[in-house]
Amino acid sequence: MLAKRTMSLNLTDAEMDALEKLARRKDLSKTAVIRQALRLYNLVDTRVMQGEKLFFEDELQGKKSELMVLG
Amino acid sequence: MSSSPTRIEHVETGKPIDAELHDLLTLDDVLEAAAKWMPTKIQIVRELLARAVPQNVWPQALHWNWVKKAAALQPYAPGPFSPYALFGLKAEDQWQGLLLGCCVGHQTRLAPTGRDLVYIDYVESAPWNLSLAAIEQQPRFKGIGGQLFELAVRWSDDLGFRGRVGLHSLPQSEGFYRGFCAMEDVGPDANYQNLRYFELDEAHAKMFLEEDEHA
Repeated sequence: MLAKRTMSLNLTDAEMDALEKLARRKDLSKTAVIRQALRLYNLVDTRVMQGEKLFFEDELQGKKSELMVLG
Repeated sequence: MSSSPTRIEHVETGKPIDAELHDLLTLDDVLEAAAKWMPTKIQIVRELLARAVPQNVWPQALHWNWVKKAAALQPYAPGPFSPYALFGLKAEDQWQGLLLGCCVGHQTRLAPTGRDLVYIDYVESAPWNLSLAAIEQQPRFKGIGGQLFELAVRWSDDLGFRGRVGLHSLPQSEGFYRGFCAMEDVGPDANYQNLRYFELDEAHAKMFLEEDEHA
């Protein structure tokens, strides 16, 4: 749909390992994982910049914890 | 805004007419559509009331308000990098249908579960394209919802999601999603007003994507 540009990316072994695991588990290419991660980061950042907070909630255990995001 | 030419059927004459599919609508485009659609929606409600048509057979999307949706979307600025995408089909210089999709935070419920998909929040045709026997209104154009759905499948493929799409359907639209869209009916969702959840898996998505390649 949209034109794309290419860049090289330097990752540590641990980062590459995490990327490969995510790609396998999500059935996505590594590029698609990074694109989704960027989108998600952008979404979280937009809401945090508006003064909102990000929480994880476990309804079964009644737990709710705030995820600290660096502003 | 990027657009591609297409055709839709003019119901009265049975002839195809030129149209455009747009895949990067702005909030202004949505407001433009809402402004054009609202008078027709009000006229339809007037007719339904005048003929005492029971409300349980009224078009279930009649109350959808794209102005409110545009306002809610403002912080996310739909665009190439937003989790949200707005698609539209334009003909005769008017929006004939809109679709709002989201590509973040929704995962497959069909096995294998937990894979990303494009979730269709809303898809609606212009009110003059509704078939309303109760007030003797035949649609002006046909084939709009299907083309917008295909666009969502192509977006899913472009994102690397292999065409996977999910949505909750209004009861009046369930037949369309089971039939034309070949989606699997996963069943009622107690967490979403008990609407039935439908999902298009990779195998069925291929039909849309291959059709498109051969078009």
